Amino acid sequence: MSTSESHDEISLIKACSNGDSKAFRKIYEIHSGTMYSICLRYMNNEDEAKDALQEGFIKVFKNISKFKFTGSFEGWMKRIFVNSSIELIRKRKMHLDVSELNSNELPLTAKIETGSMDAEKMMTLVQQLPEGYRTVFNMFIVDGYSHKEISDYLEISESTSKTQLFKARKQLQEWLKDWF
Amino acid sequence: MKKFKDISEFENLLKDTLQGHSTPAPPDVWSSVAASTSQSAGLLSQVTTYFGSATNILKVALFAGGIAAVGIVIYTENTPEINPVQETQDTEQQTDTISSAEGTETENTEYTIATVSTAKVNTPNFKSQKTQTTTSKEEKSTDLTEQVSSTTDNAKNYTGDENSNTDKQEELPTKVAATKLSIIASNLKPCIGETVVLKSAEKGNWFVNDKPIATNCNLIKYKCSEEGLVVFKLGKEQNSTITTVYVQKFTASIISNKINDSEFSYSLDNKSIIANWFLDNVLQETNSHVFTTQIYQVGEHSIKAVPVNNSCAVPIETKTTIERKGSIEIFDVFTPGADGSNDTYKVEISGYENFSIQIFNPAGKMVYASQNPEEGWNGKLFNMGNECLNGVYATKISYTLNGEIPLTKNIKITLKRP
Repeated sequence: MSTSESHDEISLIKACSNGDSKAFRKIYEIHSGTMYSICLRYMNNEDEAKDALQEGFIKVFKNISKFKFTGSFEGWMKRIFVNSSIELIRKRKMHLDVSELNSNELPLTAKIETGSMDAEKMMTLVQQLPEGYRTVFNMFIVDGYSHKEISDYLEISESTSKTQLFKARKQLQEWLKDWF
Repeated sequence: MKKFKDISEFENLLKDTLQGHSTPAPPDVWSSVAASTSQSAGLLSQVTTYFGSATNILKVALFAGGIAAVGIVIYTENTPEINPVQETQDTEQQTDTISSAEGTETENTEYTIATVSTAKVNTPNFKSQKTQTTTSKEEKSTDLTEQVSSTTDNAKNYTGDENSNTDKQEELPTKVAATKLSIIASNLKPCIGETVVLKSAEKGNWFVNDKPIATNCNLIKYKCSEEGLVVFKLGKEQNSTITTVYVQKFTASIISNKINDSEFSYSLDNKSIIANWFLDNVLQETNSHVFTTQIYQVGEHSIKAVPVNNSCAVPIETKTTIERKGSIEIFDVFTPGADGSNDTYKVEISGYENFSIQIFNPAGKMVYASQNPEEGWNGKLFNMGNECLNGVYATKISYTLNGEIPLTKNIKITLKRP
């Protein structure tokens, strides 16, 4: 990011903390796409991702005055969206369901068999992972949380987090066996 | 179709692709966000909050008798504003919550008194109901309960704001006084070779494992040289304090196991260690205790394990050498018919993947070519025509020995007939 852009971002954030709704709109326009992708990755369907996105932006707006400019603004936002996704999952209390896993296996393999590996396909792959695997896989592989952090967030043990990750990898390898 | 070497290659690609991935947000999200956030923005919005919470109160009031739980569930779900957002946020967060909570409560009271007084909902009563129900909503409620009670606490603090502030300020110096003769170590579990810095607020005499090492100072540096517990004592007049540091030693080595000529398995002798594995400095396997790979290329290979779950660990390396499997011997003189033996020109080659030979006469015309080293050249044009004349024959031999890179040799064969 160039200096002028980052300067822009700082003034946007400052304006937004002072309640400037236009600045907030601008922030929404800049970041909603990336944040929606995060929500989609965690939630696996559009309706729930929409809810997570909405919750997340409300939190961003309410807490933007607490952003300290010490790290990247996008990173700060990402954490909020990961949090609100996890919160929604927790509310829904859906757990790993073996039948879900099996029913998804066939159509998915067919879907990814042809063509090249692109972002859309990866998104589908991640979304098709069973809930428990998906959250840990997303947090560990894509968003770079440690097992310790994951265990704190999800209130599970570190070894559960590792097992879930291992299972997610195994599942992906199974789906992608023709790709290796 | 693109193939991946292994899952970690796929994962890296996935990480890079999805980290910055963007999907256009559905258009209706903004309007909901804007509607929810406009509340905190201006005067007009306060009216919205007012009515918003008023409806909730009404619901609580109406259901308060028999089906209290239902009404209250609606209440809690309709007030996301009170929820503190991130656990990581500290004191500022609280002040914010206080002010917003304080604001809403006041409004609630007004409304209650004005309209629904028959339902006997007044502020303190209402508060206690809130707490009760959140507790009864078992699953998600642990934080909610905390949040609600903290809101109540905060509200109290808010009224006695100045008092609580002065309290905090007074606490601080006491703490410092208590820590005067205590040791702060930079690292309680250092590794061998690391230096630990130990500090104290007050100067004193230092002992390491009961041996005096420094007098009248408040900072020492200790270089850890061997594994085990080190006891640091700081003494001043009659007082003394101790701190212990455990120096960790990391030992692990790679156990190599040959499965067959080209397949090898490596593991760490320390079972608790997992590592990222590199073959000739290329990452092959992540977070694993064992590593199995095929090595075909002749020569020396490095296998490196970089432990990931031990802070004292250093990379461990081992070597595996793949011996030559093939051999080749090329002669440069050819004397057909001289002694009855050696009547064909042959390259002695074994353990090869492919082979080709082309022989040209001094005029540059090809006289022999083959991909079969067993066949050999008998000195005639393509082994069947006229006998070739004495002279120097340029020869090109291309071959690949098993596990080695393809080679091409250009040599000169001298053909001598008696």
